[in-house]
Amino acid sequence: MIVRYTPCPVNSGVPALAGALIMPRPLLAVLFTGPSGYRLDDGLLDTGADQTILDPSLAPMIGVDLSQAVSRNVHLVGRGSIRCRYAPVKLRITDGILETYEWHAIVGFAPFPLARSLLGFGGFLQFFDANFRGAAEEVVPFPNAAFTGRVI
Amino acid sequence: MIEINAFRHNQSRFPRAELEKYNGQFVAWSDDGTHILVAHADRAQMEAMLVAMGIYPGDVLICRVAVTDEVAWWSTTEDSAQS
Repeated sequence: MIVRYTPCPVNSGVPALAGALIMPRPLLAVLFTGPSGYRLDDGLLDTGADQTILDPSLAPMIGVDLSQAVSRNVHLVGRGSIRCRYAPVKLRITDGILETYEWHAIVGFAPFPLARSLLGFGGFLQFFDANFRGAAEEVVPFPNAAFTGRVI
Repeated sequence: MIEINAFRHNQSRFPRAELEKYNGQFVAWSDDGTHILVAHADRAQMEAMLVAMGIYPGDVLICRVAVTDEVAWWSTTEDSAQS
């Protein structure tokens, strides 16, 4: 599966990119399924994130009840320590053509809105090896030995 | 099912000035990424608008538009005594 980076506009030029006003980011559309529904949301492939942290607006839309969920503190860069709540969801990614992967994972839900959900190690990248091709602005994830989900 | 690379190709051509009008809002994209179907700052209301159009919200890509100065403040790390 080849995932092209998404050109994301920024308000000021990025010095390392010759002042570009577009930041290419490895965004990935993920189908999240919970007890009562599914949603296709963008997430950011983030090798610096220890775990997968989702925007809290997603939880009620797929029937995830966070009122009794396990919670714990994590450190969100730029925001300090935050308390996330955890719940199981099903995740599916696809290129819409040839490859589809589906698995279950425990993910965290942030206590406040996120600009983007984070697809980090726990729950996501633990199951995939990935080749981040900077020059081509694309990433190629492929399931590794830890992947126990379904290849569809 | 969205063919994601074609979707991204079209999405990336969406006019920046137009996209900035939706900054901070949830938006639902058309299947081909060429246009925004509905948008609202409140996700529930945005999804209600989709339903009113006869679209199940899970069948379209939803994201929050974020045009910011921040470049890379996303990662999370475990709280620990070690850096």
